Amino acid sequence: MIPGSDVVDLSRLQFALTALYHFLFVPLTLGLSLLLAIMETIYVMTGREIWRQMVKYWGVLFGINFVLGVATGLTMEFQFGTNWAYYSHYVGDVFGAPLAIEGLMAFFLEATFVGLFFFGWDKLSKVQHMVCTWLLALGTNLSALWILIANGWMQNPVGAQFNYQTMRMEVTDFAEVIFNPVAQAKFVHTISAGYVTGAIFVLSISAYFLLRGRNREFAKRSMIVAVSFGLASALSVVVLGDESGYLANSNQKMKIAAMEAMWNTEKAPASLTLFGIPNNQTMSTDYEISVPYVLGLIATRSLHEPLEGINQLVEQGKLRIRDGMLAYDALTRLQKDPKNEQAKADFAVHGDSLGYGLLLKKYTEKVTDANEDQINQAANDLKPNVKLLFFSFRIMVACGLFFILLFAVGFYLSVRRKLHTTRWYLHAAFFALPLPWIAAELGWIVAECGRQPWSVQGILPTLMGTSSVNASQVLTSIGCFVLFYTVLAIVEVYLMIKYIRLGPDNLNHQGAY
Amino acid sequence: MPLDYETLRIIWWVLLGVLLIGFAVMDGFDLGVAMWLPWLAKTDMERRVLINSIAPTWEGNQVWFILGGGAIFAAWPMLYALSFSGFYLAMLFVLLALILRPVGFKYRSKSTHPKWRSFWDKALFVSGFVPSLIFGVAVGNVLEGVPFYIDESLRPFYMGTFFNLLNPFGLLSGLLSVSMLAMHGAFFLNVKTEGYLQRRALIAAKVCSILTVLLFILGGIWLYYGIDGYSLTSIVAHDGPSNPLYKTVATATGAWFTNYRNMPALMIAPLLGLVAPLLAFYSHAIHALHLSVVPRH
Repeated sequence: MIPGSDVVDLSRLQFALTALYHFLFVPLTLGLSLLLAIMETIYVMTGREIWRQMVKYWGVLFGINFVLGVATGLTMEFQFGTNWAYYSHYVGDVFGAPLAIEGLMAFFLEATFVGLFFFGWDKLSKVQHMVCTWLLALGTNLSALWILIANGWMQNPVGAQFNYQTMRMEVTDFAEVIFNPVAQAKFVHTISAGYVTGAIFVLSISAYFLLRGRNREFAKRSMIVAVSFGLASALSVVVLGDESGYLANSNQKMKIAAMEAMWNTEKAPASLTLFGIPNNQTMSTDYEISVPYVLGLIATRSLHEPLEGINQLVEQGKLRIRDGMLAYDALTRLQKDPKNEQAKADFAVHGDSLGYGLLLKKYTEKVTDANEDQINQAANDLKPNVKLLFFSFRIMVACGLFFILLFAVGFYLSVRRKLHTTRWYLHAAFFALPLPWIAAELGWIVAECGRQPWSVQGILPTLMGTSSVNASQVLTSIGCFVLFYTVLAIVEVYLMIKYIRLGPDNLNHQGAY
Repeated sequence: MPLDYETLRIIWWVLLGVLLIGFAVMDGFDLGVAMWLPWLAKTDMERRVLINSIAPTWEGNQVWFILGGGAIFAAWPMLYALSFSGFYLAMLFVLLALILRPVGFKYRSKSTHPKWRSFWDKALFVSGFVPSLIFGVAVGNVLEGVPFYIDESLRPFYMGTFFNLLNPFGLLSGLLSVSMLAMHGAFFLNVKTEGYLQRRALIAAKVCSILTVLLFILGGIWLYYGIDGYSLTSIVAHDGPSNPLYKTVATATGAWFTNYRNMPALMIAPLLGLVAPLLAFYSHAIHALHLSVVPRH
């Protein structure tokens, strides 16, 4: 018996809450660590004290943010085991490996050098300390790499095969898992988004200092670093976001179709919907404004390949589900007798659709006895939440384009040496502060809700993945997380504001305890 | 596949052993020291000294724990799935305690208000005490055996509750774990600090080393006479598929000691567990004697 839908929904809720919360801290860690390394390099090259002061001050804010990233990251590792036990069993052989390597490569670097970064100012030479800061930045970025290799595999499960003897996915080619193109595209997209977050953070707080007329030299220099670094990163986010759109189309056609609310297949090249309100009932998009050709070009990189619509993909899904029923039947026979040659042969033919068969578990425990109605329902589940994806995606892209504009204008102003005196720009920069977080969170919503109903695309439905726990246990843990995380958020924001108000001149201690 | 199943298994067993021992030794310092924070340090200065003794390195030490977890996830997914979901609430408490730790270390110093500091001092104590206790309780329960089954699709089901874990033997193991790590942390403080703090740490370390030895002996006797051990009865195929349903086990009194009977050299492990705390106790006793006889320059 798989757990009831309340456990599935609660487990998803908890994962979403804790993952989104964790990702409030990660992008800033990614971006600020690199900015710190850049600033410190300038310090070592020029020897000017103000750059050292910048590293130290942004370093304090980095530290306040960093610990919460570390602390809430633990929750993610725990949660696979506590709340997604069957998922852990089913794909741990593949999914656990990048996580273990992340610990080995990235955390050791990160954890060792974060200690040296804060405690090594007086003990290390200038160059030694700079190397530590670079290694800290490298560690945080490597950590993102391995996590996104793991996540990329959930979107595009390559290099692994189902083994009926152990009832789980097993690695067949680890190089394929590592060099998964989806993972690579996601990695660069995500770290660039982190760099943008770091740049906006520095830009915005520097703008605050300038608007208050304080720490002018400090803020001016910080802003110049932020706009140049930010402009490059913001361009990279959009270009590589486009790359992941292209890659998603080869494997996650449904995700693209839902993001675009493309209910039916359009003649090539498909048009891009700029705005509209997707309607789940009528299966159409109201008030649609669209630009011809653009989506076809982004998603297929050609003028002739058609893009499939949601309804057509659901129809195709029905065929896969029927195939999956045969796979499940063969698997049941193999469970009774692992040496049954006929069953092995059947499984070899239909095994690839096993995941689609498992979709029926929501409607019938036995799977093989599903009727027409149940197959239709399961196929309908293949459709993610169109409205959510449609709007999340558009807001994220709008933020992304705004960042390019903001940094480009800033860059222009800085070349004209007017960056620190243009008050309307300083106001715009200050109020842009929350936007990178909104964009990043919505990005994850698109990536993860767009994959539903799958935990691992085409392999393991989300509803199969949970632990055999009861709803009250999950409610207890959600309650604890909400309480804990709210308190931590309040403390974090309090400390951030306190240290931002104090400013770089009033740091009485430098990270010592 | 470049390596056969059997070789891979040996590699992962060795790896797991190294990682978990690494965790106990390295992060043990931090868990132990954090536990002593409200008890050994009397002034704010002493508390800062105590925290600073582990502050630069605790984060690196915690990686051993993450790696141990990662190794279990990658190499024994079923164990990871069953233990984390079965011990749901216990794991939740460990997690919440471990979340407090980085936050406590970093945020405590960010305000000088006594209430703020004392709040984080308590949080840091919890971050050391709760994981130490629960890891011990978990190991104790694993020795006793936990109620679970696995269905034909290898979905694990745990049938006990959180309060089943808090049985006498489980609690004894928890206490042993706490006193062992407290000893570990106190000896660390004895090396890293000086003055009154060091003297208090040494006394605490000595008390804990005796307590550890006593609890360890008591646990061993209990395990030998009072608890049924498990042994595999099916043929062990070293290169066979990892499927627990292909295997059978039987229980018998004293079965946990079968391996010591078959391979007496293994006795070195528990003997070291007894001798090492005693040695630490005596060496420091002698050291203290020296100090009182030979005046310091």
